[in-house]
Parts: sequence; C-alpha cells; structure tokens
Amino acid sequence: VDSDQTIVKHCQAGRSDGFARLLLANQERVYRRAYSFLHHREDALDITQEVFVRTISAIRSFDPGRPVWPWLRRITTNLCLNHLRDRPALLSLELAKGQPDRTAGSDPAEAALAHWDWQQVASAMARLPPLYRMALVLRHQEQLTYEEVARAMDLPLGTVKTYLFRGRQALKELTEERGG
Amino acid sequence: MCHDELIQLYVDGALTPTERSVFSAHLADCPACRRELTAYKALLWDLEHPSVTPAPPELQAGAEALMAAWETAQAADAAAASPGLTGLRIAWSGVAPVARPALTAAWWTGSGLARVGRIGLTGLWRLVRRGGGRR
Repeated sequence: VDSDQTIVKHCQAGRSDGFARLLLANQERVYRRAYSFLHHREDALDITQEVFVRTISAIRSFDPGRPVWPWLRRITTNLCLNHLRDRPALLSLELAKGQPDRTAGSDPAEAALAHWDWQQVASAMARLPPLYRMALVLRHQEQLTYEEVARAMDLPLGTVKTYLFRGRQALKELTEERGG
Repeated sequence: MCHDELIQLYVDGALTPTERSVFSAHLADCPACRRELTAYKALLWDLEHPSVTPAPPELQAGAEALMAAWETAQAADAAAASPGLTGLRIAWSGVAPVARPALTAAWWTGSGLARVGRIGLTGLWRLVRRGGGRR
C-alpha cells in the first residue's frame, strides 16, 4: 500500500499512476462521506467528481508531508455546504416529514444493510436537517472535536453544540419511534 | 428525562472531570437518567459504527473521466512549459484587457473543443451518468 506521501509526490511529478492511486485510495471514501452528509445518491456522485476535479489543479501546491484524507474531507465538506447553501430548503432545521424520506429506497445498497440497528439509525439520519446530520457525522464518524466541527462547518461553536444536542435528541426519538 | 443535555455530554466525553464526577454521583441516584444514558450509549455506538455500503457502479465511470481530465491537465501543463506557448502567453498579455473576453469567446466558438470547454468536466460527467436517470 502506497503512503500518502508517495502518492502525492507521484502526482506532483505528473505521474498518472500517482493520480490513479489517489483515486483508488479515496474515491469511495469521498463518495460515502458526501452521501452521509447529503443522503442523496446523485448529488453525492456529483460532489465526489468535483472534489477530484479540484484536486487535479490543487495537488501541485499540497504539502506531501500532510495526510491526504483531512484535505479531501475539507473539500468534500465545503462543497456539500455550498450545495446546501444554494438550496435554502435544505438549510431548514425541521425534521423531514413522514417516511420514507427523500432518499429512502433510492440506493439499492441501503436496502442491503445487514445491521438492523444501523439501519434504524441510517433511516433516522436521513430525516434529520442536513446541518444537524453534517455536525453528527463530523463529530461521531470523523471523530473531530467540537471546535474542529465548528471550523469545518464555518459556524460558531455554540451553534455546533446546539446542532449536536438537537441532532442526537431527534435521532434517539426517531429510532425509538421506529423501534417501538 | 431530567438532564438530557448533560447525559449527551457525559456519553460523548465532553464534560470536565469535575462535572463528570458530580454527574456520576447523580446517576447513582437517578434510574431515569441511567435509562437515558444506556439509550444514548447504544445510539452513539451505532452512529460511530456505520455499515459499509457497496460503492455505486457509477464511480468507475467517474474515475475514468477523472483520469482523462488528469491526462489533459498534464498535457496542458507540458504545453504551457514549451517556448511556443510562452510566446503565446506574452502575446496575450499584450492584448488590451477589454478585448480579451471577445477573443476568448471567438476562440471557443470557433474550436472543436468549444462544447467540452463550455460544459466542463462536471457537465460531461452528468451526461455520462444520466443514463442511470435521476430520482
């Protein structure tokens, strides 16, 4: 397995095998992160593509000593935030009404989820306001600190704490509703 | 539940040592908070251990389009480094800024690359995956 440093140096030397390895190592991860933020398959595919288009032009100035994933995650998060900001309806802090949500049944992969508990959580996550969902994913799946989540989302720390509190509360209520 | 926010912060490890100690003492005496604590622990465990879903097949087409874009970018970089194009860039710098948009438009509309240039790689990608349809 190539290290990030090797991959970046090969890209900076203009080597196609370097960029191919960068894609191989990160494309699915970027897609899954974009999907976890947006819960919309086609939009997540578009964001994934845009992340790597930007990478092509930016990799020359990237410091090879730094890990690649936090950089790609930042681009992915920013593009997803821009996507939400361009669609004011998605900035609503209301829970999505009813079930299924706007994504349910859209991704055949979701139907194959093996873990029942996770499926409950995933279904509930899909109904959360996107900004709550993004804060939860960055905190509990990317393991960022509260301060790092605030910086990643360009929001005040207090706002992020509120989003996390309300997001977890709503998630618990939704999973109890479905489980009960 | 009497202390939902404190319970969440406790489970998330976000309380200070003193707050944690005080709240632990409260938990010992409060069955309702202990029940909520158990529920939040289970929820956060599930949230932090998502099932890995199979990648969508469109990513492969996306990767091929990106590799093509990479090759194009490398070729453009190599061309830009050649003396001929350096000369072109110098010539371009001599064109009055007000005339540049018109010249650029004329070049694109007169070129076989015009359509690709206008819709961009992202546009091409959307065309590629349109076969699958949009929900």
